[in-house]
Amino acid sequence: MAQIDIQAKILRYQPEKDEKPHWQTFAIQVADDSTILDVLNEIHWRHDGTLAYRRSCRSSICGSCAMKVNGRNVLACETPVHRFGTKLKVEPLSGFQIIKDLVVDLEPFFAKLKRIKPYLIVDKPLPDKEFVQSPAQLEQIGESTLCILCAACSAACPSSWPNQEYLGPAALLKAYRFVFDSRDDGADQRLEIVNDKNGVWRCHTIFNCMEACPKKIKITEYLSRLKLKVVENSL
Amino acid sequence: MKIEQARKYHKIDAVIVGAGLAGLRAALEVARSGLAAAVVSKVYPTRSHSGGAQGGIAAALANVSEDSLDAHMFDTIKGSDYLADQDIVEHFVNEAVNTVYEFEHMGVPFSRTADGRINQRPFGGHSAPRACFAQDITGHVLLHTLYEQCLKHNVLFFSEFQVLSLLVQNDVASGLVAWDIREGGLHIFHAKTVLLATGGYGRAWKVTSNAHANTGDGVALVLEAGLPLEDMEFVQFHPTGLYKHGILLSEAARGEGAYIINDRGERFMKNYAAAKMELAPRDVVSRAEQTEINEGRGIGGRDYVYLDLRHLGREKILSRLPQIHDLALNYLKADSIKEPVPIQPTAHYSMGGIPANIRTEVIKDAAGTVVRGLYTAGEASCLSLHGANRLGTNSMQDAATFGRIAGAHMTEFCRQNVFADLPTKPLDVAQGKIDRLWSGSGLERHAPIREELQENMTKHMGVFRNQDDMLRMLGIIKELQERYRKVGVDDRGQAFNLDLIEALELENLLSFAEVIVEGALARKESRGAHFRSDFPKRDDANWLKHTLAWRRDGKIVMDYGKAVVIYPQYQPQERKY
Amino acid sequence: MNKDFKQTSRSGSLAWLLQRISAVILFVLLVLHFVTYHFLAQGRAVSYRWVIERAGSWWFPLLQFAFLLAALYHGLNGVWSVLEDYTSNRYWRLVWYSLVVMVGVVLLFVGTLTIVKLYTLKAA
Repeated sequence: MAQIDIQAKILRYQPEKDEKPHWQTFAIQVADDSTILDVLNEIHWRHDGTLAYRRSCRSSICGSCAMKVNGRNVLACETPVHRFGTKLKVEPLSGFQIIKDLVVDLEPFFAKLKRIKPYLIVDKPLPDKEFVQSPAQLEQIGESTLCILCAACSAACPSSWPNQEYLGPAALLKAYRFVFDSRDDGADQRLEIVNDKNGVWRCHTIFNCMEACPKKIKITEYLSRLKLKVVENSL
Repeated sequence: MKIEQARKYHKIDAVIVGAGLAGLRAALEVARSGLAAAVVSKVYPTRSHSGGAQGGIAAALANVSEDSLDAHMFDTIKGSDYLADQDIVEHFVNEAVNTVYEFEHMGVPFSRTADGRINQRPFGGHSAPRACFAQDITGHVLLHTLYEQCLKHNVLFFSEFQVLSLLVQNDVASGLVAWDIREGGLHIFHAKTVLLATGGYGRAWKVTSNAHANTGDGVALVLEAGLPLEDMEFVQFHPTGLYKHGILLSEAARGEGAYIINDRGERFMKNYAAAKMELAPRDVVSRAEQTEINEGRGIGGRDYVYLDLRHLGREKILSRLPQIHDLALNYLKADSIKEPVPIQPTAHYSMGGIPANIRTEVIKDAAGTVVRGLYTAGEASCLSLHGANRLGTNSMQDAATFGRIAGAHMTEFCRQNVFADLPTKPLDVAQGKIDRLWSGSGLERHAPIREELQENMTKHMGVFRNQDDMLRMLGIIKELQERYRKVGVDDRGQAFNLDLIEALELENLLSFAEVIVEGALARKESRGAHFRSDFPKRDDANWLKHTLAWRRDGKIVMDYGKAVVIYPQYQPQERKY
Repeated sequence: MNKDFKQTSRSGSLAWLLQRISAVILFVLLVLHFVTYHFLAQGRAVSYRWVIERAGSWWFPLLQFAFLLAALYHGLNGVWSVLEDYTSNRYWRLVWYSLVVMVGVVLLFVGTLTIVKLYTLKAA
């Protein structure tokens, strides 16, 4: 396997030293089948231990390593370097406060998730065994349950950037996931929450979220269905 | 830099370390009872590696064919190569069905049968289709569902905290000390009960399916607290790790009918487990694979074989195994619809861990003396449910079921007891670790030491083991431990100091790796996942017993007084598939 | 309620619905516009008199007025929702909102005037 030379330009911010973020370029050698995460590891382990970033599963399921590479939101662990050539520009997700280097403050992101009552609400008595749910009913929510809460969508959403109060695509997708679950009885409560200018109506079907989603979830489509449901419910 | 005192002090009934299935399920149980439950985790809960589990969760629902609790119990015992404690297995299978229904009632989007019930698929070593699944993302949906339920019941989350020391004195736990990764600084968690649900320790190997986070921190903390570890030599190698990366390709692939083939295009499992073929337990399949590779029948004579899904067809692959398809495509550019996928055995699961009784209480000796207030569940624990080899889909069931059981016992304990006193200098151990790294000479860096450990563990402590390799490995670990003393960190900052965290994790890896090797050296037989070329037979007369290992005065000390619990109806037999 | 999400008094669902309804109306009117202005005129010499006569018929000002309302609502609501996205300050929101409403009122007045004028023109 061949080694290649990479120029990785990384947006650095060390809260104890830097007043504001600045670019730093690392010239390193990595194997040609490396991922963006491999590049970051190489820098962190062998060149500059102070570089900070989040990572864990390195198999695209934990959602830790969402970041912006050459202008696109990606999971660093699953994105091969060759997708971008040898010049990389790596920065933290937009729209969030930077804690350090590529690590952003996700507290507001998770707080918004909590706001939409992200759990199954059941009023009816529980069955002895499982609830019956047909494959067709499951199909309605199947794709939305793939969401790994990596925040790539919310960070790509132009409606989110100027307005920190907007719930954002990830929380709204979670609302969709429960409102359209055949077992759930909490639709009314949730629809009331998302029926708001900072809720589902802030979505202007820009499609950035869909483009950014590493799991290729058709977020915009599901949010549109959620909007219709809100209107149906309030008529 | 010296921090004179804790940045914060928390007093909470139940403090749970680890936010995977076991930790979250326990937290939920405590929180539902109205007591305060806090989950302390080095990652955000949904980042836990339970989410990496793919294939399913075992329970004899009998939704797609006949099944019984007895069958589940027997399969688990046989799979364990008779090292599992059978009272634990019995408790486990009795609770398993309920655990799955409860998950379904919480909203888990299980894949369905045509008539709307939970679908089940076959899995290695199980005699019936017993794996309840959601496509091939079962762990992901279970983890997210539990997180959602914890939000509903107001579980407190301390995400991105690294636990540095357990506060245990006179066999009573009073809490722990953790480093706030995000802001820096030490926090004291004063608790009536502490649960260690820190997961596995696969990161000691280079080729592993485990996440970067799986550095066996809980296991190392227990060792450091002067308590024993159990059966650490039993580490499962998963037969279908993505070549070079080690990333898991679920056994669900074989459950759905995939083949494993060698360089000649043969389904070589016919020579090793003619009845079960690819659906033999993992230890058997991994050994078969490694044998093929060692004997030159790897693909092109190299160190991998093929997982072949092609005959399943596009539709089945994309609807049942979409994640596997994506992983192979992303990492190896192998389109599993059109071509076979290169695979190799990968360090996957730790059967050993923190010894505990059926109530999940941590025990400190072979007689079963309990450390009051200290509990463990999930992969970090060793009850022992999985014995010498775990069956696929039993791990998620283990984590969830014993997580719930732990939560219930912790609640009971909290109700009946007051807070134990903290030690007089609770911060000393944790502070010492930080200070040592910050004032380290820096002549050594942590990354090369870790890489050397991982490469050598993969080389010497893999599917096949022998005395020479293991002695060599022991020497390497001793040398690396020595070098670790000279490690310093580049980053002296407080906020999100990844450098510091990785250095702390390495200390843990080096600590328990020694126990794994010592345990494996001492156990002169082959059982389950522990296979010694120099002792290739199982030896029930001498070795049908658990290993307990302590670190005392810098040496690993072993005790084999903890007998295996065996019921008359499940006596050890020859294990064939 | 956490600080990251403030619910506003008006939900925005009505605005969203009206935006879609006005879009449908605009589409229908556009078709009618093409039919009445262009297709009906085909093969006929378009004379001043014919145009004025058509402007004087009962349906013509109704059509024009509906067009005016739908277009004004649709366009201005669109502009407002863009402005709103990028203005979090309450004061500036009020300023922009007033401006949009004022522009709407002025254009409505001018448009109505034009329709009335057309209707009242007499063919010479």
